[in-house]
Amino acid sequence: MKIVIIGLGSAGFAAALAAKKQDRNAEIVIIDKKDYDLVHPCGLPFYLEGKIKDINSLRHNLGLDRMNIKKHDNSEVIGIDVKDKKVIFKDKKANINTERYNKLIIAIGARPFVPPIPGIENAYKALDIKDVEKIKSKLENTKKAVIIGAGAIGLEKAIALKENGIKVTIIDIMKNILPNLIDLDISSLLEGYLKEEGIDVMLGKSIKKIEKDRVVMEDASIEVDMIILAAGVRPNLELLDDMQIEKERGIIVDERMQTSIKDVYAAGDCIQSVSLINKKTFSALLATTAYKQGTIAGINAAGGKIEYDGSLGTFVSKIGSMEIAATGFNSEFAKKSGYEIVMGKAKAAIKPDWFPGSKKLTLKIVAEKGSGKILGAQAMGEEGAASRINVISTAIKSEMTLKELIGLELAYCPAVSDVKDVLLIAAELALRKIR
Amino acid sequence: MSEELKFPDNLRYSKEHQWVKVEDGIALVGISDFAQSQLTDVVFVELPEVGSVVEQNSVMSTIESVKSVSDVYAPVSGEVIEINQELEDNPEKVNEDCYVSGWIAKIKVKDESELDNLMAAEEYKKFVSENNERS
Repeated sequence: MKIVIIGLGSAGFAAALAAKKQDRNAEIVIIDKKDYDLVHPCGLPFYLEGKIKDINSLRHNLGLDRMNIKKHDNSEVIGIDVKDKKVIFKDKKANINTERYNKLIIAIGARPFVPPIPGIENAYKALDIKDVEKIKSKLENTKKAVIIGAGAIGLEKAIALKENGIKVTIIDIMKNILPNLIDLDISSLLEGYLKEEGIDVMLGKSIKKIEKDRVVMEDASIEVDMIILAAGVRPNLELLDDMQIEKERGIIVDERMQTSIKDVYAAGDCIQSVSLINKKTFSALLATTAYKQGTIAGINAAGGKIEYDGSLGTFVSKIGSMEIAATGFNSEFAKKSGYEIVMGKAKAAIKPDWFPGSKKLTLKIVAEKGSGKILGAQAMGEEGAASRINVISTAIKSEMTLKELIGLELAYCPAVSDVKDVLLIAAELALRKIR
Repeated sequence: MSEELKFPDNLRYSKEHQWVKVEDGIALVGISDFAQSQLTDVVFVELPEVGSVVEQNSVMSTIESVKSVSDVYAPVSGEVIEINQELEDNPEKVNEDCYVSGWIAKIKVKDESELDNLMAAEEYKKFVSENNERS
């Protein structure tokens, strides 16, 4: 059994590891563009900010030799011949080389989306380690920066630059922060926090053009000395153009991560994920999802049998001192997907308010009105957002109703939590709207 | 609690910590900054029904915070003609902005002379500080 994996990110690595565990005798070959093993891209903003001092700590050596996994580094795949079952690539010496496969796993990820704005080439991309090193080297001479895109990557970069004493303006064409991930009311809370931190936020604004030191919008323009592009990512699909592989925004796979082509699997940012809630496709674009999907692809490719039942898009981001997390559907998305919903929102102290250093958390829960089934939740505060969202993610996965959620027994100690958790308060408020 | 409670001059206040602003015979009603600071984080506002008739100092609505359930009294008599639906989904407006977006109801005032039973800002401020050493 020979398994070839294209791409060594979270999905590719998870696939290699899982395949090796499944079949210790499998021959595994990875073809990757980079000259090192794995990077932790989610750590990059913390390097920019200065919390992580050494960028090399984000480059991870996987010890592939030890695992007897072969890797072609600095190599670019130029074609996949699905008839002859071989991958054609340009190796690090620029020679054309091939690797035959019994099973192929495509884990080629995504790249930054570049909106069609005149002058956009003046903006720095911010996705990979090289982009971020470039930005870091310019920080000293930067006073004003514009970040295009109010997604998690944009927000984390904004905080990082602000911590370097730079005046930051975030611009997004959408009306809320973390578009599609959180509701407008939670977005407004986050916007308020960013403003308190001295970061300007301009939402619902489209950029007309970018000049060397100026970002021009419909009704305003901002002088800048650095522009960072963080307008989302798109799956890398060009490589697959000649293949008759089924794809939409990303590669379409079944629950075993198999593509429409026999013996070809795909995982991670390059595929269309499936929602655990309504089984419809969406772009998860999360390292956690990629890792899970890679594992499923690896096990199946190596002869195992395992299915993936879908993603909730559970995420957390730390924006300055704020933790913001969400899972499942937000209210807007739930309504768009045809659900009649109820919501419960509460802001309460995580620890009893008499306990020193108690912080508040806002938590909003969305459920289906008829069944009371939980559809999603969003939380924001200085601590405790992710841990509660993880509980709700678990609840959604086990198809719990609000009533069942309220019945959960959660741990209490004043130094850690309160007798009645904000999560339960929000669930109760939502339930009341059903009765 | 909050060191800088607000007591806008253009409002009248009740002993039950409601505020009222009357314009053209219509009273805009809410709870005072002091009241919201005592309640702490509001999680639910049970709004009165439009068309219901309330008496001065009768219960017209209920506000729940994480650790309390408190009645809201009508500061004037009359018919409820409008309620702040926004509070159904965003009850925290009562904390954030009790005098503007956190209003609770509009009442068609039956008898404007009832306003004399209410306090002006300075008087209410004094009332609050005398009755609540904690604040």
